[in-house]
Amino acid sequence: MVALATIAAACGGTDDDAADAPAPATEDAGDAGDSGAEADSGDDGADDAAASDSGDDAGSDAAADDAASGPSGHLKISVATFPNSLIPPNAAERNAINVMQQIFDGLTHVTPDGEIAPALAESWTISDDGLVYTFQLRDGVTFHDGTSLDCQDVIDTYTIARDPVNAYAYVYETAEPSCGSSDLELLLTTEAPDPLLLRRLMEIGITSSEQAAQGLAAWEEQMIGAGPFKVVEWVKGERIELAAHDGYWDPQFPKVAQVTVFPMEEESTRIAAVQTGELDIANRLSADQAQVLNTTDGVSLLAYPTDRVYYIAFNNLTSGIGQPTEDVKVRQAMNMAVDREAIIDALFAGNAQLSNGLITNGNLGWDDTVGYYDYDPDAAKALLAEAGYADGFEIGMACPNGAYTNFEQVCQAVAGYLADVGITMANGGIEFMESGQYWELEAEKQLPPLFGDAWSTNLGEAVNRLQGAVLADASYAAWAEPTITELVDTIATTVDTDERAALYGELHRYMFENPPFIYLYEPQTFEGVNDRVSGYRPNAAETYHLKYVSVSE
Amino acid sequence: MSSLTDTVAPGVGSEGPRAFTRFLGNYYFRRVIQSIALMFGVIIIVFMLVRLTGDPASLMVAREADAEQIAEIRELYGFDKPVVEQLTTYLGDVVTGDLGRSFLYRDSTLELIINRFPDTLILAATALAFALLIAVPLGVAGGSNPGRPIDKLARFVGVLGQVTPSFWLIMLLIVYFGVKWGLFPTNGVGTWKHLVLPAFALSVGAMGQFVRLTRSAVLEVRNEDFVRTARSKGLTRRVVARRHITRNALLSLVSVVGVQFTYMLGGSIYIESIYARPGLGQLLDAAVRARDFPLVQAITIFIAAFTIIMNLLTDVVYGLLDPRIRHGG
Repeated sequence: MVALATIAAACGGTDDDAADAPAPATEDAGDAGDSGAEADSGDDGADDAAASDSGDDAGSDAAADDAASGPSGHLKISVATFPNSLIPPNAAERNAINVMQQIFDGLTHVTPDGEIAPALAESWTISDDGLVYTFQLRDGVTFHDGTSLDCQDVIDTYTIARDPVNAYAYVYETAEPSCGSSDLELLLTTEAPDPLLLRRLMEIGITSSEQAAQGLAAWEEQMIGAGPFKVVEWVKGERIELAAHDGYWDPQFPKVAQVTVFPMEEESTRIAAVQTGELDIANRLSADQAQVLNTTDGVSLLAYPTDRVYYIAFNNLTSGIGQPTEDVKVRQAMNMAVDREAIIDALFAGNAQLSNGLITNGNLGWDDTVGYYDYDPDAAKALLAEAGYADGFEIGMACPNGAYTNFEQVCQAVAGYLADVGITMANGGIEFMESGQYWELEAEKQLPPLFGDAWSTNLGEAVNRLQGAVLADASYAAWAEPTITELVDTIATTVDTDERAALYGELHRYMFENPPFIYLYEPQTFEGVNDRVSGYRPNAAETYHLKYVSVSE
Repeated sequence: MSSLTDTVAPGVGSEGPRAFTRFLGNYYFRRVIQSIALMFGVIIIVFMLVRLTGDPASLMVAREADAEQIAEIRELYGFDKPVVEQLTTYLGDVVTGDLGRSFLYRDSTLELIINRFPDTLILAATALAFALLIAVPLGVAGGSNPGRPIDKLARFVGVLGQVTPSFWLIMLLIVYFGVKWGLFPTNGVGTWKHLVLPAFALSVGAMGQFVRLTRSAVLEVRNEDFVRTARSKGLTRRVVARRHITRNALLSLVSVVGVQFTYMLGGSIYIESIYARPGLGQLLDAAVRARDFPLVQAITIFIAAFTIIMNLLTDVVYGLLDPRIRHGG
C-alpha cells in the first residue's frame, strides 16, 4: 500500500538492456494481412495527417515495415495484482495504473527517458505567474467511441472524476479546466503554482463527453479513452483483453495489435509462465527468484532501479524530542555506523543502490557531487563521543513486518551495527509490528524515535516524497526543520525547471549533511522478457509504455 | 435400543405421518435453528475481528493524504459512529441481502462473490473428485489386504497427503509438469488442462484423510458380525465386500466429505493466488491485502454460511443413511 504513489511520469532507468527505439516488425506480409483484418491498418494510414506514408504500396517489402504494416502480433504481459478499476480516478495502485495508461492518454506524456512530451495536447504555454496553462489540443484525435476530442471533453472528464466517491477525486481538484478561444484550446488554471502539473497530466486520462454523460458506472464498464489500446474484454480477475485503437492519434503506434494482461500474484508463477512462453513479460521479480531466467533460453532478465528509498527515520516531532538523535552529530554518526554495502550484498545479492538522500539518481536536481556516508564505526564512535555519548545510549526502534522484501532482516542488521557503536535498542529490542497497524501508528506519529520505512515516487522528481516525509503537517513525517521546510515549500511552487533543479540540489546537500534519516538503499527490480519482444524499456517509475513495444512471431 | 428395527421410511405404516413430524420437529428443526444462531454468531465475530486490526480510514487513502482527508473518509463510510451502531446497521443489511460494497472494486460484494464462486466451486469439486477417486479404491484395497504392499502404499499416501502443504505442492507441480515437461499450463483457467494441477494440489489433504478413514473402516467392518453372517450364508467374498463393507465404510466418509469440501474452499485461497485462478479464494486474498473490510466480511460470512449449510446437508444425508443418528438424539 506504500506504493499508492499518486501520479505520473517515468524516470529514465540506467539499464541499457532493452532496445532504445521500437524495432521494425520483421514478419509482415502475412502479419500485415492478419492485423489488417483486425486493426484496419489501412484506415490508420489514411486518416492521420502526413506521418504515415510509403507503407501501403510498398507493403510487399519485408524491409519496409513500421507504420506501414500496422500493428501486429499478440503481446501477453502480467501484472502483480488484479486491478480494481481501469479508469483514471479510481485505478488504485501501480498495477491498475499500468493497464489504465494503455487505455487513456492525457494531455501530456512522459517518455521512457523522463521527458515531458505532447500527447493529446500538441503544445502549451504557461502564463508568467505560473497559474494558467494554455494547451492547444491536437486536431483529429478520436476516442474509442469514435467521437473527436475538443476542450469540452476535458471539462466533462474533470467534472465526473471529481465525484467524491472516487479514490483519486482530489487529483482533479488541482486545476480548473475551461475552454479558450476555440474548441481546441484548453486552459488549466491553478490556484498556486504547481511545477508538477505537466508531469501529472499523463495520468489524468481523458474520456469523451459522450462517455462522461452516461455516468461513472458506465465509464467503469465501457472504459472509453483516447489511448493506444482499447478494452475488448475484461474478464474480472482473469484477464484483460486490449486491442490496438485504429484511430489513435499517433499513426506509428501502437506496434502490437493485441495485448492480454494476466494478473498473477505469485512471483514464481510469473517466472514459470515466461519460461513456457505463456507470458512475454513477467514483471516485478525479485533478485533471487529471477536468477533462473538467466539460464532460460529465449528469455532475458532485465534489471532496473526503482525510485524507492528505504531508510530509518529520526523523529523530532514527538517521541524523538529530547532524544540524543536531535543532535546532528549523532545522526551523522549513525549513518556512518551502518555498513549498507554489506547489507545490500548479503540480503539483495548486490542488487540495490546505496542511498544518500530522498533525491535519487535520475530525479530532477540530482547532484552527484554530494557524497555517501562511508562505513566507519570508529569515526562514528568518535563523533558520538564529541556529542557527549561516548558510552552510547538506548533508544527505541520499530519496523514493519511483512511489508517489504527482507526488510525485517535489514532492520535487525541496522540494530546490530548500531550496537557496535554503543547504541542499543530500548524495550528489549526492535518492535516489529504488522504493517497495517504500523502505518496507522506512523500516520499518527506514534512510532518510537527510530522507525524503518520506504518511499517511492514515479514523477521523476522527489517533491512528493519530500512533502510526505519531512513536512511537519504531513501524516507520515516525523522530522521537520525550518531549512528543509522552506526549501521544500519553495520547490513546490517554483514552476521553472532549472530553478527547481538548483533548489533540489541545495536540499539534497543539506539533507545529506544534516540527515533526518539513516539512508539505506534503493532496490533494483527485475523483469523477465521473451526475446521476441522489442522496444520494451522498464523504468524506475514502473510504468509500462506498451505502445512502443513490438513482438515478432 | 430398538432403533435397528425401527428403520422404516417415513410414511410407511400407521406410524408414518407422526414419525415424520416427530423427526422433523426434533432433529432437523433443531439443527436448522442452531445453524441460524451460529450464522449470527459468526457475523458478529467477523465484524469485530476485522475492526481489531486498525482504523480503516487512514489505510484507504494515499500516503500523502492529510488528517483532514482521513477524517472525511471516516465520516463518509461511517467509521466514526459507535461500533455497536455500525454492527446493528450491518446486521440489518445482511438480513436484507446487502452485504455491503467493496471499497476496492466499488461493486456490490455479493455480486463479486457470486461472480467468482463458481470457479472455486469447480476447483473444489474437482479436487474432491480426485481425492475420492484415488483414496477410496486405495483405502479399500489396503484395508482388504492388511500388511501387504498395497496396504503399505495406502498408509503412506494417507500420511503423506495429510502432511503435504498444498501451496508448496502446487509450486512444485507448476515447475515440473508446467515448465520442465510442458504437460499442463502453469496458470489460469479455460480448459480442462488448467484444472488438473491446482485440483490435484488441493486434493492431497483430503486424499490423505480419506485413505486412512476408508482403510480403517474396511478393517473394522471386515470383522463385524453381519459380515461374518453374510459370509457364512455362502456369499462370495467379492459380493460381501461390495455389498456391506463398502457401504458402511462410505458411511464414515460421508461425515468428513462435507468438512473436507469446506476446507478446500479455504485452501483454495493459496492455490488460486498461486495459479492465478479468478476464484473466491483469490478475491479474499486481494481483499485482505487491500484491507477491504466489507469484502473480507462478506466473503467470510459467505463461506461460513456455505459451511453451515454443508454441515446441515451432511447431517441430513447421514441421518438418512444411518437411522441411529436421527433417533438416538
